Amino acid sequence: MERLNDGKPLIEARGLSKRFCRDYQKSLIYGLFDVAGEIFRVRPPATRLRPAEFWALTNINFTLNRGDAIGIVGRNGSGKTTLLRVLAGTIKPTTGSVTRRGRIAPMLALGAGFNPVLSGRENIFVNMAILGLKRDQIKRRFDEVVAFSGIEESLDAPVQNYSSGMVARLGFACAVHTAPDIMLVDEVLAVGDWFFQEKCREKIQSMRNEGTAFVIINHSPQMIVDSCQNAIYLSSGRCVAAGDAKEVVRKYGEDIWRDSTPPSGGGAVTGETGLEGRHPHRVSCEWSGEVPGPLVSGRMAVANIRVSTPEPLHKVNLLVRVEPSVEQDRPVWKNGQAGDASAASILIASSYTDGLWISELPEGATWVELRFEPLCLTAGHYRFLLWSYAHVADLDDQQVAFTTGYFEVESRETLQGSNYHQPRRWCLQPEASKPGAPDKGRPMECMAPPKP
Amino acid sequence: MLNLGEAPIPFAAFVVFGCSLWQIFASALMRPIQAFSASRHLLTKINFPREALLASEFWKLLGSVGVHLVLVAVVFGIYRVPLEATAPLVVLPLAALVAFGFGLGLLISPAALLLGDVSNALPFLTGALFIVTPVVYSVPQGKGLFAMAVRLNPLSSLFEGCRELISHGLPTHPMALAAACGLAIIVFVAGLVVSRASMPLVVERWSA
Repeated sequence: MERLNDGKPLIEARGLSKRFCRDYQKSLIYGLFDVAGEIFRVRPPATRLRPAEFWALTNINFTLNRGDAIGIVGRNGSGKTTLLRVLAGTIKPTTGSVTRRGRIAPMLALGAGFNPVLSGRENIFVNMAILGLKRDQIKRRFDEVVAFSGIEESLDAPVQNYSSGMVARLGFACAVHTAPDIMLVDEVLAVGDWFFQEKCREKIQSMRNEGTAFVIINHSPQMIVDSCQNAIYLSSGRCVAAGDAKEVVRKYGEDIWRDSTPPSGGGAVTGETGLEGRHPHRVSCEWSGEVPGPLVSGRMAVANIRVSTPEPLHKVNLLVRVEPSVEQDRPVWKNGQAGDASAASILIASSYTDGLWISELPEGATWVELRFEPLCLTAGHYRFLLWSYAHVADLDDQQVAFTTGYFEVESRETLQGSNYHQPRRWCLQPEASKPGAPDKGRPMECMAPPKP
Repeated sequence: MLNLGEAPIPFAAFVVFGCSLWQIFASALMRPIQAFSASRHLLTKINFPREALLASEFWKLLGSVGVHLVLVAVVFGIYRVPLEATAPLVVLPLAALVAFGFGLGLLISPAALLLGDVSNALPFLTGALFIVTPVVYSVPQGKGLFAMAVRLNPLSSLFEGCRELISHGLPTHPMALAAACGLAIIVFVAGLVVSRASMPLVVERWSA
């Protein structure tokens, strides 16, 4: 496997910008104009936007060296996939240049290029040929590819009869066995079973050790931090942060929290991820004690949750998570990961699992009380996170609304040192009334619960 | 009444040969567009030399030309059409015909791939072209509008050239045939240039 190894960067991107058009009709007309401009070499200045256009990428600079692994993070529509496509060369940047050296294996979609009527065996040849291998090179690696993909039994069946996992496995096997210098990975490893994912991870690691460079898009910050030294954080096509992966991911997490969560009094923040074009619902939450006043350990506490929505909601699940507030700068991953108790959460309550099945909430505002009788948290500062998962009538997708904030719990107990408040009573009983002995009446003396 | 001219070969063989030539041209015209749209998923996901698709399509086209020629040979054999010594030279205008069709297909492929209207209009346009091409009749010699249209059609010279080389001898209008061949080469090269320049933009519109 001959490799370029002269210390020069494998990918060098300078001042990449890419404009796209939102209007389908206009985009086709612009496309024809661009084709004409390309042929006659009279391109209009590409620094301005025509009506209905926007910048999908703005001035991205980028260097990928041998053995590097760079993660790209950013919210949906921030330009991650566009950047990967420009790097792969499937689309041209509007301005700027990309210099590529070495073989690129793009994994923008696994199994792209499989012909459904051809057998797996034939498709291995076709696919690897498209990725740039010669016939005898493919022949030499054929057995390895088959072994890695684990589809020996279905090798001669047409690919259209394969399951999606099998197609993905075959696609990944073909891509990695072309011995690429650069792998571009766009969240494709989510398919396949756990066993295969582990195999992929091992393979990626060994390829990195051999000097293959990676550009990885992944929504899991953990995956980015685990597998990349460096990361780029894109927002609306701009590079907001670049450098050490941990730093970039932390900043991304902070921004997700801040962007979507304008402060709404008392240090609480709220946010929502609606579906485009819909007015999402909102949640807010206030904590109160028995009487207006501080929250006290061992007394009743109520989380007053307000859900407001412009249209009726169905199948609502409210999820509250409480964690110590010392780690205030830890990123909040608000979508789907609320139930992940591995973080420092010390209390999780879900209306659904607690048996409150809110099948429908009318439009307008609804109050939901979450009562803690008593509150068992000890004195301290806490942060709460509240998610509301709901369906809107005509859509299957979930809407997620989110809020977070802080509260403080006081304690009236004189003796500190418990991890949580345990409601308790001390009782003094004569020998006769010990368990098992015949009941001789009520205990003689009983201490009231400690007065907090 | 259409003047069929004095065809030196039986009319059935004449029509079969003409239709085969037209089929070769029409399929050459559609192939680039079909090749690109069939590989749409590949083009948007993987960066590879797009000319590979054209090359593969070109070989398939040559295969279909061979099939057509076998059919023509069978029909000529049945009607015992005598062949001239110049018959092997037919590959020249035939190659020009293929190049012309393929190049024309390449030229219109960006528009046809981007705008559905263009690809929908293609059958009508080729239908119109069919009428002014001497597929089932000889090139008319009159001075009418129709005769002018047919004579201005570069396909006419190519068709005529093919026929004459098979069953007449050297072409009667060598200059017109040479001009048509030259035009075919220009169209073919222009088609390759346009395709190379435009496909990245087409792929971009597809993937956007």
